[in-house]
Amino acid sequence: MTTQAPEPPAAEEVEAKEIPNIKLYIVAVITGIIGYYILLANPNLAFISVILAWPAIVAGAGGVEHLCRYGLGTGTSSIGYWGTAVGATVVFATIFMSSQIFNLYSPFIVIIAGTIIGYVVGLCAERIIKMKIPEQAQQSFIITGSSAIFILIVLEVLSSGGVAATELYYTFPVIYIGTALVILHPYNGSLGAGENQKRTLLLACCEASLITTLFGIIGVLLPNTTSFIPALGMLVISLIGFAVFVRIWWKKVKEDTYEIVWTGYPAGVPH
Amino acid sequence: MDPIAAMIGIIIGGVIVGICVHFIPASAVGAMSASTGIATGPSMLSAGCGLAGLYAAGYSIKLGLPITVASGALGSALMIICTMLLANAICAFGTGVAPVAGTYDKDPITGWRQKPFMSPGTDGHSMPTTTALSGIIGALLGGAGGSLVFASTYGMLTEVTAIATATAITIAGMVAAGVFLVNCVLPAYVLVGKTEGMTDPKMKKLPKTLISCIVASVFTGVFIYAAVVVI
Repeated sequence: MTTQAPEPPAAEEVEAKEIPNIKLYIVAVITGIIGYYILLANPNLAFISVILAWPAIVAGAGGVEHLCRYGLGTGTSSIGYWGTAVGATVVFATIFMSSQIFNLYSPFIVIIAGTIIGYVVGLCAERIIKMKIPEQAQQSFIITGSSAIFILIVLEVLSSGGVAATELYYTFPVIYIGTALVILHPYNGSLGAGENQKRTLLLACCEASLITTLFGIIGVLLPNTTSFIPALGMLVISLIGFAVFVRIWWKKVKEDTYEIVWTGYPAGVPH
Repeated sequence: MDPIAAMIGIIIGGVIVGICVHFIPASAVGAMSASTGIATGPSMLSAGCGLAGLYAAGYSIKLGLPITVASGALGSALMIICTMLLANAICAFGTGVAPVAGTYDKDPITGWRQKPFMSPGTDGHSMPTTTALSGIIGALLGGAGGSLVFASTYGMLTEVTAIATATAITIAGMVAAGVFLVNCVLPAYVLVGKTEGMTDPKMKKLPKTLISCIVASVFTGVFIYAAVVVI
C-alpha cells in the first residue's frame, strides 16, 4: 500500500491567505491620524501614539514585499529609499505650513500629498516605463503614504507638540534613513524560498519598535527639555514592544524553519 | 530667489538627476566581475554620488547659484572618480580581470580592443576609458541636478520664511536628497539593474525616463512650492 503525500497548496490559495496591503494601509492611516491627535492633545501620551505609528511601518514593509517579489529591476533598498524619500520630503515641506512644526491639518495634508505623489510615480512606472507588476501604483502609494505617517508622528514626538528647536532639524537625516531601513529591511531580511507575509510583517513590527527605541534615545538626549517625557515614554514602550515582537517573530521563525542548530561557541547549546 | 523660479529649478534639477542615472555605469552582477560597471544598483550608486555632491554644494551655498551647482557637480564627479579608480584597481589586481566593455569592439577614445580580454560568459569587467568618461559625465550631471534642487529649495526658504540659515540648509539638503532619490529610482526601472553608461543600447529608452521624471518632478516641485509659499 502506498501513501500519497498531500499536494502542496496552489499559489492562489497561499496568496488568498495573505492580508491585502491596502487593508493594512487603511489601518495605518486610521491609527496614524488617531495617534497624531493624541499627541496634539497631550504630548506626554507619546507612548500611545508610538504604538499607533507602528502599523504604518508594517503597511510600508508589506508594499515593499509586494513590489519586490516581482523582481523590480532595481534593488529592494532602492524602492525603500524611494518610498521614504517621497514621505520624508512631504513631511519636511509640510513644516512650513504653520508657525508651529505641524498643525491640525498636517496629517491629512501629509497623507494626501504622500499618496498622490506615490501614486503618480507608480503610475509612471506602470504606464510610461511599462513595468509588468500588478498594482504597482497602489503599492507605491502605500509605501510613500506609510512612511509619511510614521515620520510625521516621530517628528511630532521629538518636537513635543510643536516646539521647533534647531537641534530637531539635525535629526532629520537619521529619521529619514532609519525609516527607510525599517521599511525596506523586513522583506530583504526574510526573502528566500520560504518567505511569507506573516513572518515578514512580524519582522517589520520588530524593526518598527527597534527604530522608535532609537528615536526615543535621540529624543531623551535632545537639549530641548520639553521633549524629554514624550521621548522617554516612546523609549520605554518601544523596548517593551521590541521584546514582545521579537519573541513572537522568533516563534514564527522556528515554525517555518526545518531545524535551527547552534553553531557558535560553546558547542552543544540547546536552542 | 523668486519662488516660482525656485520651483522651476527644482523640476529641472529633478529631470537632470533622472538623466544622470543613464550615464553612470553600474551593475549588480559587477560584484562578480561578470559585467561592466560599478558593483551596485544604478539608483543607489547615483544616489551616493548625488549625496556627495550635495555635501560639496552645502559648503558653497552662500556663494551664489552657479558656484553651488558647479561645486555640487565637482564633488559628485570626484566621488565617482574615486569609486571607479578603486573598483578598477580591485578588478585588475584583486580579481585579475582587465577593464573591458561588452557593448563595443574597440574603445571609441583609446581605440583599444575589448573582446579578446573579456572572460567567456561575461559582459565585461570594471570600467574601460569610455565607460569611465560616461560615469564622470553622469556624476557631473547628477551633482549639478541635485545641487540645483538644493540651491532652489534654499533660495525659496530664505525668500519666503524667516528661519535660521543652518536650519534652511538642513531642510533644503533633506528635500534635495528626497527629490534626488525619487528621480534616480525611476530610471533604474528602465535600466533593469544594469547599464554600461552612454554606450549602452538602453540609452534609447531615455525618453521614457525623461517623461517619467518630468511628471514626478512637477508633482514634487509643485507640492514644495505650495507647502512653503501658498499655504
